[in-house]
Amino acid sequence: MSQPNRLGQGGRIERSRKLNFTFNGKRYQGHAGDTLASALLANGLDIVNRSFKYSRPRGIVAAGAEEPNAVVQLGSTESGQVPNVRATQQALFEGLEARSTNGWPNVQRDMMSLVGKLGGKFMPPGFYYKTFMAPASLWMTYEKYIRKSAGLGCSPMENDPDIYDHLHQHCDVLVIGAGPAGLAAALAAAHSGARVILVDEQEEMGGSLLDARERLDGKPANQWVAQSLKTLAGMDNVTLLPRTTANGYHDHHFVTLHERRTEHLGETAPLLNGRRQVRSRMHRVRAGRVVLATGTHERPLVYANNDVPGNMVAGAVSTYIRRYGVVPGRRLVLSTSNDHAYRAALDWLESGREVVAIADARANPDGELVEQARAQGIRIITGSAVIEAKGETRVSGARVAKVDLDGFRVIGKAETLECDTLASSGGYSPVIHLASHTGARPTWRDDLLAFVPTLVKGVSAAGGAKGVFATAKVLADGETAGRQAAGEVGFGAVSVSLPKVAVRRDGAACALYQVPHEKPTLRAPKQFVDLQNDVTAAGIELATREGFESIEHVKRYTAMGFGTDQGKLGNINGMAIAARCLDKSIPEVGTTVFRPNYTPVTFGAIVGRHCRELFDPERYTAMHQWHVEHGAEFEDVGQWKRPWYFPRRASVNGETRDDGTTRWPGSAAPCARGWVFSMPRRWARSTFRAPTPVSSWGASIPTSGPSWRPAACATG
Amino acid sequence: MFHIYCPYCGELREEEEFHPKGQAHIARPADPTACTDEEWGDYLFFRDNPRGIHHELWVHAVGCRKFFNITRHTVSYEILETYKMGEQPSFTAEHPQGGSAESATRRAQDAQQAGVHA
Repeated sequence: MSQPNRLGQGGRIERSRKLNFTFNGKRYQGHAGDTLASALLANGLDIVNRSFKYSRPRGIVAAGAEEPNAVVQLGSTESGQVPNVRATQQALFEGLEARSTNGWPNVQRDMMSLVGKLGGKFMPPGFYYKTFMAPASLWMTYEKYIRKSAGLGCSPMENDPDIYDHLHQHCDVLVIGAGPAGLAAALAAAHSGARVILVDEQEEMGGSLLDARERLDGKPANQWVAQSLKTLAGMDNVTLLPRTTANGYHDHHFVTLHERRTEHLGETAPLLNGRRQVRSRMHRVRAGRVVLATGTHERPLVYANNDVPGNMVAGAVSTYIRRYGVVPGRRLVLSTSNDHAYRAALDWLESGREVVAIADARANPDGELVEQARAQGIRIITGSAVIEAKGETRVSGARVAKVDLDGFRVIGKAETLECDTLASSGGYSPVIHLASHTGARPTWRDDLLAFVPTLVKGVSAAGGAKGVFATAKVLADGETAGRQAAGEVGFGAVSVSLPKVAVRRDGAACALYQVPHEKPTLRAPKQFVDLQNDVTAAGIELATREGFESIEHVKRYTAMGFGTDQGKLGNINGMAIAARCLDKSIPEVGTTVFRPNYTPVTFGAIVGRHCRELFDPERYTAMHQWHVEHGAEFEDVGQWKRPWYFPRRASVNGETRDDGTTRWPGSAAPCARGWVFSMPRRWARSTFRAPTPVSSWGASIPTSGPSWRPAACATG
Repeated sequence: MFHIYCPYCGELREEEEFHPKGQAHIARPADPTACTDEEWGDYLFFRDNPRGIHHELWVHAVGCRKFFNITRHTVSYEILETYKMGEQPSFTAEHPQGGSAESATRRAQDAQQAGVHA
């Protein structure tokens, strides 16, 4: 089995260890160190899913938690089913079985796509509510079918064989994210003596340094990562939590972490020394100070057909090449508004494939990377952008045209370039999700073209999360944040030596979100903003026209940034489009609220050990053992186990409940108290007045009898 | 989830140990029978819902089981002080920076919080 897109060398995968896996029933091969996404790309798989609403073919777009399309269902057995897994976050293991969540009869040929294609124009936001309005009583019927045609995965129908844990943790400084800023912050805080927890959601710690072009102290960046992690691992006051997502920031520095302990090893947790391991853990951390070093998400550009497989975020292209040794295509066109994205083209060229052109929206790009690209002979088309992608199931070309950014229009004729991969970058959005969980609205910075977090007391942001992008500055910023956080909780400042990084000269970026098309937005081919929820630029424009002016209303009307996606990739673009349509600025439009959890969490981890017999404590009376010995059947009264009736064991088939409760005392087993216990509550007061009440199961209840009346026992 | 300093136990504890009991400093009318219906209704049912500093009554339900007061900012959820029953808050809407009343609890809490991580 060959992997057509795998490079002969490079990447951080173990080439000697091959792993077999199955996707949609077909067998493929990858390497240890791959994610499911990188292995799928290495095998040249274009379509990994069908879209939510229009059933359009979709491929892998990103390389991390922000991936909107490659949301797959894992599991070979019913009890091992895991829905909602991002292929970019799932490490490959031997025997992994995954499948697409949408698409019928299969993801390559999907019947529903015909509906999407023919009816796409007629499916604006609110389509279902506008169309299936009458009669109202039939909505439940419509809904059943509408739901069937949408949805992301299904939950298992059998019990989960795995076990999960909760841990309560305390630390002085919690550092979230182990990229350059996080590592520097953790080092600075740890050296001051503070108790530090460093968490990172990826398979490996290191963040952007794992695929950086920069050299630290003249050596590849990942050497500094390895050395720093070794230092941290050797310190008693440091806890490293890899594969752990900080999913929610709650009040007063209370953070929930979700640690995946065995999900990279197999479908269910393997045994260790004969005992089943804990599959995942929820850490409930009360920290003294929190440092958010969560980095950035790159924004893709919004142009026509930007969802056809082969359209990717520029940074993801670099990540796949440098970290996994996978080039996701042969011929690349890059559309960018900033310098940093040039990395993708340079990496692509260095891996021996062709870069057709770079369309740069700026008139005079002149940064260091731009000059490197020029020196390599890459064609740079300035003042232009990709306005439309060609192709049905894979990008076959890109239409590039000069654009007037202020006037939001295309100038002149578009040129069609032949390519199979289209990378785009519209800038970098700090990951502000955790900072926003408290309800604090982020602040727009015009110089960064991004929202930066508004922080509550005791929380600081460092590096990309704060809008600091250059590696050298990120390291210094992280170190300062770590040192200050430790200082605030009473630990003396110790300066940590940082590696030397050459400062790169970057040109200023320009503001580009939605790329204009020759046709107006409502008539142009679909320009997707939120790929996961199938929200288009036209949809947002229509929503604003129909009077939804608040961004929160636009969100709810169009479903932008809903569900598991939480607007990681598309929200800023969506706000920019809403701002353009409403003729406002982005800060005037504002953001929607990001809510926990940052990524989907398995219910098991939330439940922990509080399930099955530990879900609710059982309480026993002092006489419980006696009841057991006399063969009582029990009923639950609150948490109490109460004897219900005492079936006589003498008879062959046992005794029915009716017989057991109506049988009179004096026989071998005491019996009659059962009926009082199982009476409906309203009778408890009236029984002894009513002449012949009938019990809940229809047998008549004796009102006169021996004086065993158990009134004293019947409380509670 | 809040991290609450119990002025009686002298420790910061998790919110799970506490129970909120609504607005603090609500004086029961001295002579209820003399109240009009409106006055009595106000006393029983009507509470402030300020944006900003708010005084609340809490009980350390699974701890010392004592009642005490909290001054909390309803926007940032920051707990500015906790003080025992019968004491007056030092942070009020008129004195958002504190200092409206000298609170012994407040000083004790400062000392505790300064020393807690040292």
